[in-house]
Formats: sequence, C-alpha cells, structure tokens
Amino acid sequence: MGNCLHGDVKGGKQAIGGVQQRPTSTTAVANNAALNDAVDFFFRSRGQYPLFSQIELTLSASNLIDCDITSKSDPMAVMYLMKKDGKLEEIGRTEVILNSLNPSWIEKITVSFQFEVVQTLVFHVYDVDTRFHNAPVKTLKLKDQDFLGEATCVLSEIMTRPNRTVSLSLTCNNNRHLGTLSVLAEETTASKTVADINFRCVNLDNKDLFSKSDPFLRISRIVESNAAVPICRTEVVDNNLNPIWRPVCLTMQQFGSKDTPLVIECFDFNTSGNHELIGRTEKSVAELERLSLQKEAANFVYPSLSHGRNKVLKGQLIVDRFVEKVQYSFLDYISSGFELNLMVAVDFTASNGDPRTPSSLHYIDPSGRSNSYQQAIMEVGEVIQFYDSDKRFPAWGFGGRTSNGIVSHAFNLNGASYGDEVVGVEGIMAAYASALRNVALAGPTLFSHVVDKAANIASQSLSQNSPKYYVLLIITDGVLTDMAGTVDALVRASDLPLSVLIVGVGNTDFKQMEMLDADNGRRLESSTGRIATRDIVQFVPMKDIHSGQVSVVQALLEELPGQFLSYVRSRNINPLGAPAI
Amino acid sequence: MSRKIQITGISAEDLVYNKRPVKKNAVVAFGMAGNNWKHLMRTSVDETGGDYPVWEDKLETEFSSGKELPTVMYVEVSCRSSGEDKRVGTARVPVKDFTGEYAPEGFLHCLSYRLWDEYGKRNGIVNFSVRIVPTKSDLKSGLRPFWLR
Repeated sequence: MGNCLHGDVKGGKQAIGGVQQRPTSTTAVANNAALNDAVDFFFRSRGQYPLFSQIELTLSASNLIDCDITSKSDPMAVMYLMKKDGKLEEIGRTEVILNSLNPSWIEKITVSFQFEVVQTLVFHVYDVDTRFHNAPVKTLKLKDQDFLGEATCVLSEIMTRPNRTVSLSLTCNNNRHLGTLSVLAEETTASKTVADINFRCVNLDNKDLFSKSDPFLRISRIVESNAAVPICRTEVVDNNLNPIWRPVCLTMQQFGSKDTPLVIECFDFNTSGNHELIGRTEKSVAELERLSLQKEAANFVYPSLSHGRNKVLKGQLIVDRFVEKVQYSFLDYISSGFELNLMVAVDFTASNGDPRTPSSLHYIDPSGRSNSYQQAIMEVGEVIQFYDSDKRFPAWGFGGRTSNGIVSHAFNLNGASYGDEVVGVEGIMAAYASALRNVALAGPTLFSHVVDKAANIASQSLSQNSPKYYVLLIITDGVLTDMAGTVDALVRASDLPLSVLIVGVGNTDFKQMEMLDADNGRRLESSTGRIATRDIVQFVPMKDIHSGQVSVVQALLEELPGQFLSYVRSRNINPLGAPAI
Repeated sequence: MSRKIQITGISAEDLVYNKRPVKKNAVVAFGMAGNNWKHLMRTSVDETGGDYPVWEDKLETEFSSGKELPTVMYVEVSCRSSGEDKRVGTARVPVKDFTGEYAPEGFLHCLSYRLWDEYGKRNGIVNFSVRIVPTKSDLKSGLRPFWLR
C-alpha cells in the first residue's frame, strides 16, 4: 500500500504543547502569558488601562480540501485581527498537522478580549508545503503555502454563546464550501502552578505488522460541552511496546484544575497521519499524582464500538515522577527589583551610504524627518528604557574610522575617551548625530567586539549585589562579514545575564541574522566546539514593523521575557523576597 | 590551600551508538588532562533516559592552588551495557571557560559542548554546570553577590 513517506516525518513526531523545562534548554519559554505580561505592563504604565481579559482560542477543522496528490493536506491555521483600516494584523498560528483533513490543533492562540470594541477575527487555513515541514511555524511565509479557506467572525459572538464554541464555514473567492472551522474560546488564568510529569507505558498492544508500535501520548482536557480539547502531545518513541517519554510539563492554564478530568490516549504513530488508537484512560492531575506516589499503574481501555463494555487492555500507564512547582513570571521578577539595563551599538559601515547623500540610511534630513537609524533608536529605546532603572546607557558605534584614523569596532558613540555612557534616549540621539559628523564610515561589519564589551559589563555586574540583566541593542543595515567570530562571541556570552536584540534597517536580505536568532531550534556552535547555553539573540527587521504587520512593542518584547526567564529558571533564582520553591 | 570544584552532569542529547540512538544506561564522566587526575569522576547511570539521558548528579573534587590547573577537561559520555562502558562521545573543554575569565569565581557556569565520537564525527551535545567554590576568605568581604548561585 503506497503511503509514500510524506514530508517531515521527524517533525511530525515531535512533542507539542508541554512547556520545556530542561535546565539548559535554549528554546524560549513558549508561554504567551509572559509576552502579554510585559506588553501589558508597558501600556499600563502610560495610563492606558484597557479593559480586557485574555482569551485562549482552540481551533479545529473538518472536511478540508485535499490539496496534495499522494497524501492529504497538512493544514495550519493563522488568525488575524481586522483593524479599522481593513488591514489584517497577525495574532498567532497553530502548528502543522500532517496528513489530515479533520485536524484538531493543539497550539492555542491568545487574544485580548476587549469588551467595548468590536473585534473581527479572520482565520486563514493553509496547506503547508512539504519542503517547509522542517521549519518552525513562526517562520513560514504564507504566500508560499496553499490557501485552503478563510472564515470570519466577531470575538464577542463566540463569547456570548453558551458553550463558547462557534462553527464557521470556510470560503474562498468563489464562495465554495471548503469545510468547517470550529473555534472554542476560554479565559486564560494567570496561574503559576506547573506539573512536571514523567510518563511511561508497559505491555502496549502491537499495531504494526512487521515491527512494533511507535507510541505517543496525547493528553486532552474535557470541557463543559463534553468535547475534548487537546493540550499536549509527547514525542514518538519508535518501535517500542514499553516506551519511556521525556518529561511533560503542563501549566495549570492547560489542565484547568487538579480535578479536571484529562483524557490520556496512546496512539501508534503512522506516517500516513492515521494514527491508530492503542488505548485510552481518564485521569485528573490529582489522580496522576496519586499514581506516582503510590507507585500504581492505570490500565488502558479500548472503547468498544457497540454499546458493550470497553475492553480493558494489558497495557498500562505509569507515572514515574510527578513534581508540582511554582513558576514565577517575568513581571514577578521585574517588580521585585530585578533591573534591565540597555546598551546600544550603531552600525557605521560604508554600506549605509555617504551620510551626505539623501539615499543614505544615515542621512540627517534638515527638514527634521528621522532616518531609519533614528527611528529605530527612538522606537526601540522608548520601549526598553521603560524597564531600565537609571536611564544611563553605554552607547557604541562599530565599523567606523574615528578621528585618530583607526577603524574601530566598538568606539564610544559620545566621542568621549573617559566613558561610554549617555543619558536617556535623547542622549543616544545626540551622541549619534555628533558621531556622524566626526566619524567616517568604513567597514567591515563585525559584531563580536560590541558583544564582547557587553558580555564584559554583564560579567562584571555579577560581583555586585543587585541583580541586573543586560540587553544589547544592535542596529545594523546589513550583512555580517565575520559570521564565525560573531557566533563565537555570542556563544561565550550565552551563559551570562545578557540578551542581544538585533534590529535590521534597510532592505538587505537578513538571512544571516535569522540564523543567529536560532528560532529554528539549532543552538549556536562556536569554533571551539562549545554550544550556546541558551538562545540570547532576537532579530527584528524594521520593515516588518513599518509595514504594519507586527506592532513594535510586540516584536521587541516577544523573546525578551523568555530569554530572561530561561536564565533565572535554569539557576533556580527566584524574585527577590519570594519564598524558595 | 585547596579549592573545590563542583561539577553537575546535567544531561545529554542526541546520542548515537552504532548508528542507532542510545537506548539506555548512559553515564557521563569528567576528568582533567595531565598528571593531577588519573581517575575520572562519574555520575550515576541513567537507566531510562535513552538518547536523552538526565543525570543531575553533583560531583566534587579538590585541587591545590599551588600547582597549575590543567588546561583541558575531558567530558566523556558512555553507555554501560553488558558490564562494560562503551564510549559514545567525548568533549574537550578548555578549563579557562570556567576559571574566571568570563565571569567571577564562584559563578555557576552552565555549559554545553559538542560531543565527538571516536571517528571524529559529531555525536550529540552534553550539558553540565561547573563552579569553583569561593574560599571563605573571598566571602568574608561583604554579602555574597546575588548572581553567584
């Protein structure tokens, strides 16, 4: 039977939904609550107190069109908010489900429900092309995928239904009926409890013909309408009837309460996407805790087709370890006294163009219009300086020839020989303007010197008694000359309380920067064989912000709370004054 | 006067032995190059972890500050099966990565290194943390710095 190996089988076997808890895990905490915390705090501080509550949407679809020839579509859903001018702002995406015309996505999309505003949600469903299967969902370019259909609804319409679910028809230009999309809305609770669980099974039934089953678990939560909302999936263990999975970390947001019934299903993975059910069991989190304490096992049952009794199987689910912990949020740390400190580095390489010509990225317009660098400094600086306590920032330039004729890759922007600090965003702007007059653009583009300087400052602060976390903002127009040297410097700095935020101006291809951002999950490796302890880079192209697709605040603050949390959590550092876990 | 080094073998990822992912019983050992250390410090065996073992074992060793510290530490991940230890991969860690050049002494360095197998091919990543325990005289001057945990 030809079900040819379709696309990204390896990607399809990975775990989804649980929060990563490895001490040296470099994936940023995939926790929407952290992002909204930081953005929320920023707006509230400016007196903008929106009345809203956070809503989590779970999506599923049925009867999608089949776009692939030899197998079924691989659908992914993207959700947008329609703004006043009709433009669509992307809010979030689900994951890609392989080979299914009736997908139930696990990844939830969070949106703020504002009572007094009409929020029109637009959903687009895409069939993700095979060649993109290995890429993280965030980086997929939608115009390269096959469009499967669109649905629209108003958020308040979902919220006012009794079971908070709505079914929408998917349509395209010619209004054909392309399937149905179901949306379930639930309020998010900012709870800090997480449960770290180690699952394994014994004596599972063999569902494969020539080898053993490839089992994985899918955990779903039962909501009021008796529907099951999937919350997470373990990775697939090949060829094993007694599998042991990596620990699953569930937040209380995901499992509801300790007594909410969860359905744990064990499937045999098939590359065709038709995973065969091996068995299921219903346990609440409290019952799982009891199983681990009393070292008991739960038998799987196989639901019977007729109205007879379910068949009790030999296969059993065992909970090896159950740990309940408290996870503090980014704001918990900041409000307890952790300081963020900003440092700025500006690109003075010749690729920007002669500052005297109007086409240069460094052109200072006499009419007062800001150039790309000034815009980036102001927009980014305003957001981050909000979190900086003393508003004194070290500011450097790189790639320029200073007055003594030498090209420096980390010269003081303020032109002073004694210190590199400026005061406030205005200070950065003034230093930038005066540096343009005194420094000649040269090259090449190297980040390693400024990264080393920032790492030096961060490591010196370790000996002081107040906890400081540093953010280095690099504004650049272009392509790195020395990728290896930069990677080496970043890997050396990856163990320190430092994040590097790279903002790209101009229209170059920033593919190198995206590699440094390590969003594809590949940790940076230095030339000495050392691997980055964590992902400390975030890259934001200015043109994405200006085209209105992403808001400035959201783009910048997206990874920062996660990187900060990965540092403090891996070292078991709590907010000041908080009780030890 | 002797100083203590605390090493915690945390975990390893993507271990492959004989072209197949390691099934179980992985162990990691740390040893300094040179004459000072003949013996290796070993963690306990992770029986269930498979190709993603987790140890979280704290190991301690001492060295006297009179002699020179060796320049390289070797980290070896092996797989224990049928009584003997089969080497899966080794990493070569320059000791100056954790002796105070990039951070003050006493700082907990969380490090990750590429593992190389005996054919010189990449074979996974090992994660561990190292810390040189500050002596009492270092601590006497004021409160213990915050970040040095």
